[in-house]
Amino acid sequence: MTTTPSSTGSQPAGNDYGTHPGARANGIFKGMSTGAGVLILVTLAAVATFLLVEAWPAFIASPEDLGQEVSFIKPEDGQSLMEIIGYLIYGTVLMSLIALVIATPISIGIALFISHYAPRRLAQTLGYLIDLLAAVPSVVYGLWGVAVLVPFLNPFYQFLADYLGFIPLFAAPESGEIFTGRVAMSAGIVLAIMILPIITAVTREVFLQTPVLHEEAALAMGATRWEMVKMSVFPFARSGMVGATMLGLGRALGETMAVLMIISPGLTLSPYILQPNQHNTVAGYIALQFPEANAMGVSSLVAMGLALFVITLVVNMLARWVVSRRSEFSGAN
Amino acid sequence: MTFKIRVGATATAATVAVLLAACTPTNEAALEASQVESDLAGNLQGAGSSAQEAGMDAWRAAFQSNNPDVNVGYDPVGSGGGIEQFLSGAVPFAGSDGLLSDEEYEIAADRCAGDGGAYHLPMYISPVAVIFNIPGVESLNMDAITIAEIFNGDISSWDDEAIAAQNEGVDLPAQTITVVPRSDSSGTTENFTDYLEQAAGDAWPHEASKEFPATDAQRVGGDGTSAQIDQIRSSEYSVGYADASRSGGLGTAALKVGDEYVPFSPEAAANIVAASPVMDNANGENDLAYAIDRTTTDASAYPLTLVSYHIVCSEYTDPNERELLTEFEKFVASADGQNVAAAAAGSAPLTAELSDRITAIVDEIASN
Amino acid sequence: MSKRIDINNLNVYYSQFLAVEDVSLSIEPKAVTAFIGPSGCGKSTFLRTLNRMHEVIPGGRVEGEVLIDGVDLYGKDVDPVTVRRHVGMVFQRPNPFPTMSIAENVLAGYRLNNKRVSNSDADDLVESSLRGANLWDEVKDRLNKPGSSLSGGQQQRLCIARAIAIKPDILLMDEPCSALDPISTLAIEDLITDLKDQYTIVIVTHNMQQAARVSDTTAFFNIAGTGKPGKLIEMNDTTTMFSTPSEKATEDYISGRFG
Repeated sequence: MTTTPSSTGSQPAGNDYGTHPGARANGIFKGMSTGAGVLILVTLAAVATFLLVEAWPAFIASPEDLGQEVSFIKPEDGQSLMEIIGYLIYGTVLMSLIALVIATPISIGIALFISHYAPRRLAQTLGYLIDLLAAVPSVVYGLWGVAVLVPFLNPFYQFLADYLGFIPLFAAPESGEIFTGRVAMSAGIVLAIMILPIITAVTREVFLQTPVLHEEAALAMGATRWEMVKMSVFPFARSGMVGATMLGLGRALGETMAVLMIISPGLTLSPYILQPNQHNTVAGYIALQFPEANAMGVSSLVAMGLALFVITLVVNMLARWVVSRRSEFSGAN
Repeated sequence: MTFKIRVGATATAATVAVLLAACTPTNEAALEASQVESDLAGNLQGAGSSAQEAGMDAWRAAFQSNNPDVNVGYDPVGSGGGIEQFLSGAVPFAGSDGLLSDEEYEIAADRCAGDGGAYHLPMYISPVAVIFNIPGVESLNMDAITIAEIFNGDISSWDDEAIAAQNEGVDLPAQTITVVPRSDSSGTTENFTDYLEQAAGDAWPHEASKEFPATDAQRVGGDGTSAQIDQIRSSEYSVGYADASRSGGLGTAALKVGDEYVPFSPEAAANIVAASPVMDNANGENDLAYAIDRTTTDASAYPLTLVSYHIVCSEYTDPNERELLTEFEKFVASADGQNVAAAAAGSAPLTAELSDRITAIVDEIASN
Repeated sequence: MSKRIDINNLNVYYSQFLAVEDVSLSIEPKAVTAFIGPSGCGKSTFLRTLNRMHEVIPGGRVEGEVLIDGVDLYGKDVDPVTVRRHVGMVFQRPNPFPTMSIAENVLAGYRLNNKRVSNSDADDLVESSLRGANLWDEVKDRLNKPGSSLSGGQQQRLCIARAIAIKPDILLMDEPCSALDPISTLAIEDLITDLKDQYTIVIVTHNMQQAARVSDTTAFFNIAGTGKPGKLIEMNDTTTMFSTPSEKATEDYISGRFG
């Protein structure tokens, strides 16, 4: 509390409350982080602009002209640009849904095991292993899928088709024989393995955040572990699980290589997930046609990419929204 | 200290968009000519068909070792992309499995120096084999109609009468046929479907296309030749079509030409080109744009053959570019060039006549 | 309904760490027994051994005996889950299930034992439990509202209602008023006095006045220093404990000289 006149004299403004030494670094950091934030927006805008500009010629061209110029667009066969986009979005969503239906319960099971059942050491090891799954390149999944998984699954598909074939989903090809496993179901299964890590990682984090108070409340009234999970963990984590699932869906929607290598593609709106030549994904189709496409063909493919971009954006925004709602009805009161 | 973020952001967005659009992998480092051992020096860049990529790799390697100061690059972006780059002047030549349209001919006339427009030079000839996996059967005779009916799903079993009638003495199994086409866009598919469209008549109710049509056959597609071949190898009683050089170990079909059954061979493949007429809309007599005659009755020719061209200008203004290009193309058309491609890619060497004819055309370009 | 607890030579461990050492005491039925003592003296840990909730924390284990009406809580055939259905617990901070309504919160424990509960039975149970927790009049018009919409004191009484809905033999309370304001605290204390007619109640508290007000018997726990185990110093009639404690440490603590 003893300020001498000489110490104030060294300040240029002549008072004690001028610029402090950290101001510069603070300013620089603010600039850098703002720049990073702006950069990502600019990149996104640039991608969107690129897609729009490149796809524009395909959008404004008449279906007939497009059919003439682009080898894979055949309006006369019910495969105009818009129809193809429809088939592809259907196929993409179908395979992603198969993946979700398979991956979500398994992921939640694994996450629950890690967060609430496994001994600490085992839980950690398992966590690392699951994260490792996320690091495997999708080509490897594709190769493994074609070489190992598809032949392995064939008898199961035959079984499904034999006994549940009356459900259109599991209908066998005309001959009644599952002659190939390179179908939407296999692609869905491989996608499920690929999205497992992200769903597991996110749900695990959410499960671990369940307030101990709520878990103890359930346990103290004589709940078993599973009852405790149902009473306190799941209600608390519900939005987090939804968000995790959406993130997984986002990944499944954009996956190319694995699907491409596994599926025998086709363009239909059929529900037959055990039959080949029925479905394809947007990303897979683009990869199939891009190498041989001419200018207008590339435009058309970019238009399909734009459709995927929009869907993925919507799914991710939905996921964000669901996750953000978590804070409002979380049990942390 | 104030960032003009708004202005900057818009400008950057535009720049990034342009960069993305322009960002195709075309540039290989230009080598500075340091020692002069041969007369030729510089950088020659082409782009186009991936069907001839293996051949192109062999030509580039051999040509560069003959001319150490030359660098030849080839971007296998596909025929369409190659023509596009050629027409925009980005590359001096394109590799293409297909022919220029009338419209593209006109653009080429503007793009090329002088009034001569562009020429097609058939450099890479490769027979396409109909391949199958039937244990114990190495060869089958088939006419185009039978092949069309198999791939269209009208014939679904190997012991079908139509196949048996052409293959007396062969023990054909009563097994369902699985058709394995390419699932990606490909010049091979286009050639195959063009053959069926022309030679099989009503039995093939589809148009020639780079995409295999959705036929009623029991079908499994493969993405790319390797995946397709793997699929055929791994599933018995399947049938497909692929570049003949990839048919090893699988059964192959001899096609009915006239009254005989012709198995694929380099000579027969080269002969079909020689036996085919040039397109009506070809750009003068130097433009070797062949309309492959799939319906030929000449039993020395194999009609299911892929021809991949180099599309070049009749005149070039830059003398260095002209010299590089013509020297390279002369090498490609020469017996040496054709043989290195045959060894590396399994293509069929040009007939001597055609080789001489191309050399003459290239010489003419060189003197323009 | 209410049962007597006898603890003989109980040691509580977390892995290798001895948290509470050699406690022997008896808890009378239909009475309130208070555990007091400074922070970290092991009174809460000890309380948790009475319904085996200490086992929720990895490594938690005991040596010695806890007998409830003569039955060893740590006997071979005893399932901790069943134990907890008979020994209810109320925590330091109110913890109703946030996504459940008030009525569902009350029924939560009951539903664990009875999968199918008729609507009228459920309504009766909700009412009787909430009345038992002195909460009925305040919430009877909003039974379908979330439990988290109540005030802190109401939430804690909801938790008590939830605990008594399963008709436990014993009710454990771990500093039930420490997060509440004085008025809510008073309401809870009144409730505890009402409940002791039916239940054996054990309450851990920091607040000596509270112990003096509500309990019949008081046990004082202390700790020799950080890292040392907590010990039972003295246990006696509450009036005796607060007027003439026999141990010096108890007197120092009660008179506010430490802790």
